[in-house]
Amino acid sequence: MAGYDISKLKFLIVDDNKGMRKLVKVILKAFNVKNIIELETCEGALNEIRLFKPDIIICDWEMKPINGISFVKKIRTSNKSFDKFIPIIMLTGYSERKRVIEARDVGISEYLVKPISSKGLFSRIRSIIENPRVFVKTKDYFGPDRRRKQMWFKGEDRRHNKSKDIKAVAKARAKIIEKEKKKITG
Amino acid sequence: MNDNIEPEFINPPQNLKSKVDFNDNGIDMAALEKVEEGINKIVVEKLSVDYMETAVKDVEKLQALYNEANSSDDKIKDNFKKMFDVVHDMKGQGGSFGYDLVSSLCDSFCHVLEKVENPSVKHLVLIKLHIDAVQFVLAKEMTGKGGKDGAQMLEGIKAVVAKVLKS
Repeated sequence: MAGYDISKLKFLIVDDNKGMRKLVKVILKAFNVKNIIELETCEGALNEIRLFKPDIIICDWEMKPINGISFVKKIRTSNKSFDKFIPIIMLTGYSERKRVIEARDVGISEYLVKPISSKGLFSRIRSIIENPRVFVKTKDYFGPDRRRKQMWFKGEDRRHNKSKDIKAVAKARAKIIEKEKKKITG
Repeated sequence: MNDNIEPEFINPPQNLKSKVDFNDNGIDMAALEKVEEGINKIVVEKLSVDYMETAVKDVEKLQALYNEANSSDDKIKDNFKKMFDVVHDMKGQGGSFGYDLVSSLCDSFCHVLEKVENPSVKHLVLIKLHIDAVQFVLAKEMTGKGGKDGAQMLEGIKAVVAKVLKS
């Protein structure tokens, strides 16, 4: 049966734990990926992005001196960032909701909780390929649209994070949907 | 500052679909099952050796931090934070390398280290309990969830944690 051939994609792994880097690399190689670079610090990774030009970054959260969250922020918002749109999978031991939201709010593309499995990693890679999300730029955020499904809905937006920023995105999206709706219904 | 600035929607310039093929060499569900089996074999045969070395060193670090905290009250709070970094890493690694019970024990350990706002001597009992349990699991090479013994151990530790944190 046919399946996704991701062998041409380039991956950058950033994790301060050697064993984890090795394991992620072994899994990617099993997916037939050939171009993989692994680094133990975010500083090194920021330099390497420019040279290696990865298609996808897989990074840990807890690292020193720069942690994964600051690393993602730098990629998404720094003027020196080489590619603000690189898909980033955060691979972490944190499973609490507040952590997932924190990572989402700095602009990660996918979140994967350790222990890692090949099925889990492949599903995140597939999601990045199949559902590339539009990027949103607001006063406080730059990153993939935090609402994954585009859908029409009646009534109030009941999302948990009701910051002005997110409300503004919802308002703008509603306007766009309304326009599209009018086009279709005349 | 004007809060009503309209958000801008931008399509990423690079679309990965152009670099990905859908063919017979690709990964489908059956291939993914094989990959999973192959990875598990590599983990058991090769990677778990490196993991064990790292895990044993981590336990030694925890033991040293515990000893320091046990001998000086001033060190308890700081060492709880230091321990969290080590235990959090161990939580993520355990199950990844076939030691699911280590991950579960470290999950409970992290819970203690995070939950206690003002750690004191009475909480050190919980720290010692977790360190000893993880050390035992590694020494006996209790892979996976550790079977019935592992389940009982975890259940017992969680009961003690609940009791001490409630008191």
